[in-house]
Amino acid sequence: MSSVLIIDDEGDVRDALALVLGRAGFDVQSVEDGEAGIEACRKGLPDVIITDMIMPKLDGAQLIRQIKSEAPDAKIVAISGGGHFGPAAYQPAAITTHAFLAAATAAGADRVLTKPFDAEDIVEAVRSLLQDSGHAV
Amino acid sequence: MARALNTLLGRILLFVLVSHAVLLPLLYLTLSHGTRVNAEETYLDYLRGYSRFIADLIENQPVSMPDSDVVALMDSVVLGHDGVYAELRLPDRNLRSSIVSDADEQRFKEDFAFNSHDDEVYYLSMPVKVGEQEGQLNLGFSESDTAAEIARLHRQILISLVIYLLLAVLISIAMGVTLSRPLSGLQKVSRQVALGDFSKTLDAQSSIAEVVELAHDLEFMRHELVQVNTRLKTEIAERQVLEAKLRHSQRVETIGTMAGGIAHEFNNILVPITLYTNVVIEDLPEGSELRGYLLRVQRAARRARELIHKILAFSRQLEVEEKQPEDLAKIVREATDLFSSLSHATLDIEVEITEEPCFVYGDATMLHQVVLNLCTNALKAIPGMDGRIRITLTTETRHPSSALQDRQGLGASYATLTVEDNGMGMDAATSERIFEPFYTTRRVGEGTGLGLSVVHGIVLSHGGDIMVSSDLGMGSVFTIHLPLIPEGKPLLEQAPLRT
Repeated sequence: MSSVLIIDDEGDVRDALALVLGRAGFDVQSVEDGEAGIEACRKGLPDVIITDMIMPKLDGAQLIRQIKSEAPDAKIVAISGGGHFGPAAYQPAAITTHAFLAAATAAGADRVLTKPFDAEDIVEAVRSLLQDSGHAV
Repeated sequence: MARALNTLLGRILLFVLVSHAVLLPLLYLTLSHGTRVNAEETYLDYLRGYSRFIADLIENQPVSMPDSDVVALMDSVVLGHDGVYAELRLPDRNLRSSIVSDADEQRFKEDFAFNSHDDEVYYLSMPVKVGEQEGQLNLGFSESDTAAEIARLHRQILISLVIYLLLAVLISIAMGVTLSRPLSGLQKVSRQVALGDFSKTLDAQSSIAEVVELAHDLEFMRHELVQVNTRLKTEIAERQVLEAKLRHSQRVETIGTMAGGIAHEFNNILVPITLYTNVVIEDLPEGSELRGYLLRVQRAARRARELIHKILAFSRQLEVEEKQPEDLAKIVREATDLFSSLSHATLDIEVEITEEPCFVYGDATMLHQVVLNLCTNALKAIPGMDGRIRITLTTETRHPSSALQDRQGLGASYATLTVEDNGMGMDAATSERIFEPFYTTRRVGEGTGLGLSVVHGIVLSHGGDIMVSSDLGMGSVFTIHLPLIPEGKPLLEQAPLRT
């Protein structure tokens, strides 16, 4: 069974994602911030990591860089409600979804998704990443 | 009266009148005395000569003149010239002109001074030798003609002096007017200039060197005033444009921040709504009533997502659409000028801008804000009065920021903007968090803590990066790198993005 790590500071988002991916047959683990996410990765690298971009302590871009530097093969899906890039609620409007996508891609994210998305979208993103890396889906 | 005296004309007239009031009486006295003495002397010399001639005539006869001849001679003296009295006194007899009455005899007095005794007669006495006898020739002459002549001369002198005085007054008036007319002309135009009408030139129609020089200097002043005025007007207009831009960017920033904040929250809220709905729909049998309701929830959630996309697109449009090739050097210069003019005079602001072309693809208003926010931040870090802020703009072909090297297609040329202050500086922990929103070291009410976050956001949205190095108590240096483009055209178009 492929493992998925969810990193998001919003409990409702975390729980909903865990339910959807669990039902899709993945072994799901979820944490609420970037530091806990890195910690979890060090214990055992999951097949796919789903991370929010706007979080306290460590933001998405920093987290992605960190994971990619420790494990270049890690597969990462970046998700964000846009609006801002970096710590919450401070960017001028220019830093919207576009900037988030650009920053996530620049940091090394393999897939990017804008919140909200349908269950099939996120499942599809995870499956395609697993296929890329030769996992049995 | 006093006011009239304080004019140029008044002063000249006063000077002429006062000096002549002293000079003219003196001149008159001297001249009249001289002419009087001269006329008297001439007349008296003549009279003495004439009397001598008569005396010689009597003395030098080879034979003593008969008395009748002497009387006839006396008569001729009285009849001719100015004579009024004539007699020859001998010890034994008195031979007097027959024309002179007895009464007149009493008139002969010891009046040997001209114009005395009020009788208008000048008497002259002369010793005469007639044969063996010692006699005395007594003659009297009228003074009136000579006195009249003297009076006439005095009148002439007086009239000449009065004419002279009138001429002097007239000349001084003419001089005063000549002097003061160009001056009052200058004054009239200067007043217009002072009131803001710069159209007339300050010119003096005068041949007096001082007046011409004064006019020249005043005209130079007017010229300078016109230039300074024009420059000030231009600067004010430029500043108004800058301030309008600043206000606009602040408004846009507020709208953007609100829109971004709302979008972020709603998108997150929509995630569980969408996902749980998806899950339940999957579990419900096709065609069931509840599934129908949930499909409507799902559609509503999608509509909400579309709406948020529109809001974001709108707020993005406000800014991104305004990006174009901009001269960063010009922007930095304008912003620092504005900052200098708004900050207090004791602040030492040093600006050093490269001569190299310095074009970036960006939004001038937002870049203005970057410079202004950094300068304001530097100013607020300076506790005392002798603060120093140094702003430099340079270009370089590579810089060591790995973040920028990660990005592709940005080219190898960057502009480097630094803002350095000698303020209180900050410790490492503060440096790390300085770009976080609402992070501030200032007391409540002194700052929102958004300024540097905004700078950070703008720099990132322009494809650049920002760094800070600071030592506690030693001041801070903020360094910004922005990718350069060739002058006049954007090298980097916004990459098409997936959503």
